[in-house]
This record gives sequence, C-alpha cells and structure tokens, in this order.
Amino acid sequence: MRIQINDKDFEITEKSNLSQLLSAQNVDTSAVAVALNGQIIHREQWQQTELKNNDTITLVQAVAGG
Amino acid sequence: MLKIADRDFHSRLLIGSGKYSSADVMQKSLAASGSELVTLALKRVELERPTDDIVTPIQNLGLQLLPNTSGAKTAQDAIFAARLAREALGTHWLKLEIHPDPNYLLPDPIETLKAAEALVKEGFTVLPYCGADPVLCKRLEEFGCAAVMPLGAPIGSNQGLITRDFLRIIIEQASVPVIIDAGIGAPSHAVEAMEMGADAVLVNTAIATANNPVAMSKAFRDAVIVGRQAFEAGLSQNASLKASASSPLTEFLESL
Repeated sequence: MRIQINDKDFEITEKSNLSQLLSAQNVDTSAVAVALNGQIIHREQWQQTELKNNDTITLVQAVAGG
Repeated sequence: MLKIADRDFHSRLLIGSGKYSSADVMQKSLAASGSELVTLALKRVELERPTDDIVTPIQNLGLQLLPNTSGAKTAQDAIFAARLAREALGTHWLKLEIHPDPNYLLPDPIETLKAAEALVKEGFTVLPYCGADPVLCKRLEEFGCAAVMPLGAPIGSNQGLITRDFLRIIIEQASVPVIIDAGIGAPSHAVEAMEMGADAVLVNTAIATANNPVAMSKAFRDAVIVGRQAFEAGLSQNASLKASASSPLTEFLESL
C-alpha cells in the first residue's frame, strides 16, 4: 500500500505500524515528532498505530535554529 | 537572578543554536556563553539525508531547550508546530515566532497574539518574538505569556537596537521579563540593552557567524553581565549637551 511521508510517496507492506515504519526508514527517533493525517501521535502510541492506504505522515525533528 | 515562569536562570544571555559552522563549534560556543536557555528549530525529516542529533549535546550541557516555531506563517501553523515541538523535545517551553514576510522576517502581531492566547491555554510557557510595540507587549503579557521578546532590529541584521525608544517603554511597562531578541550584532548592543533594563538578550547570528564564535560567545557573556551591573548600579542621568565638570573648578589659578 501507499503512504506519504513529508509529501513523498512510499510503498509499504500491509499492517505496518508507525514504529515499524520509522525503524524501516532508519529514523533516529530521539527528538522527532509524528503527525498522522494532521493528528499528532504520541511516542507511546506508535506501536499501536496501524497505517492505512493513503495515510499522510508529517515527520519533524529538532535542528539548530535561532 | 532571572526568573521566567517558574524557573530561575543565573545567565541573562539566551543563545540560538543556528548558523554555526559545525556541531562542535556550536557546542563549545554554547558552553562558553554561560547561557542556560537555548533555542532550536524544527524541520521536516529528509529521510534520504539524515542530519546529526543536536539535541543530545545540548542536553548534555544541562541547558533548557527552547524550541521555536520558525517557518510558521499563521497562528494555526504555529500551534501545530508548538505541539510537534512539545512532542519531539518533551518541553512545554516555546519561543513563538510567526513571520510570514521573507524579506524582513518581521513578526505578524495579529497571528502572534492569537497563537499566544491558544498556546497559553494549552499549558505552554510562551515566549513570543514580537515587534517593539509597547501595546502589543502588554497584550501578550495579559494573555499569559511568560516573557516578551521584542526585536532590536530584523533577525540576523546585526543593526543593534534601532527600536531603542520603544524598547524603553516596553521595559518600563512590563511585569514579565523583557528579552531583547533579534538584531543584536555586537557585545556593545547587548550592553546597551542590559543597561536600559532589559531582563535578558537573545543572540544567535552575531556569535555563530563571528570569526571566532567561541571567543565571541565569551564576549557576549561578559557584556551581558557588565550591562546588568551598570543597570543595577543606576546610570548617572546627565545626558545634556552641556558639559558638567567632574573636577572642582577651583579659582586658585586665576589669582596667579
């Protein structure tokens, strides 16, 4: 099935959850936040959050800034 | 001691983590600055181009993180960014900044006020970057902001306190800390801000892009201390064009 992460298309296997997705994409999750279809998903809910076709994910991280 | 919300800070220098040539120089500069409050930004992860973790080195220095909402053009954007920042960094402290104009990066007062009101209600400790507008600063304070951060000059412009007369009014009227943000390009500007009674200053570009950021960081650390000492000592008020002798004008020479 197809999902979008930060406006880019990705093909993923059925029944993946958010945790699996982030680990498959080698994301360092120490200072990131995830929103699924505009709704922020708390870190402790990543495991239980199963992804659906056409889901849109916003993935942000802390970077240097003033 | 500077108190913002429920936290005490020994240092009155807030520092930004942007524009450093490397993470190592940033970390050394932050350490040299003596600052206890450091701004960070958020950006979308580029999966094909992973970037280094900058949070751990900052946290290892024991500094309070102050994520900003840079990139937000509306109150709605800023509120979303604030929630993401809280989730990513585990802090409810926030530098609220909304500047839709790409040329001067001037903060939008209406969107800032709207976002501040909503975010305070959501439990954020909101430090808004705003214009040097005394009326706006009072309104932000009334809405529950923990401090106000009026600009000295546009972000990164290094022009110093071109808004000084309005900053004086803001400082006179404020009952929350006033942190002069943006435009401070030299330690002398930081001294001036502190002498006029600002509670703190926020510096980024002037340190990060100096020839020697670590040394400049120390210079700003000392400037802020000196400026505060002068404010607390109470500046002499003679500011007229006429001279005022500092030695007795004795008349004994006239009798020679």
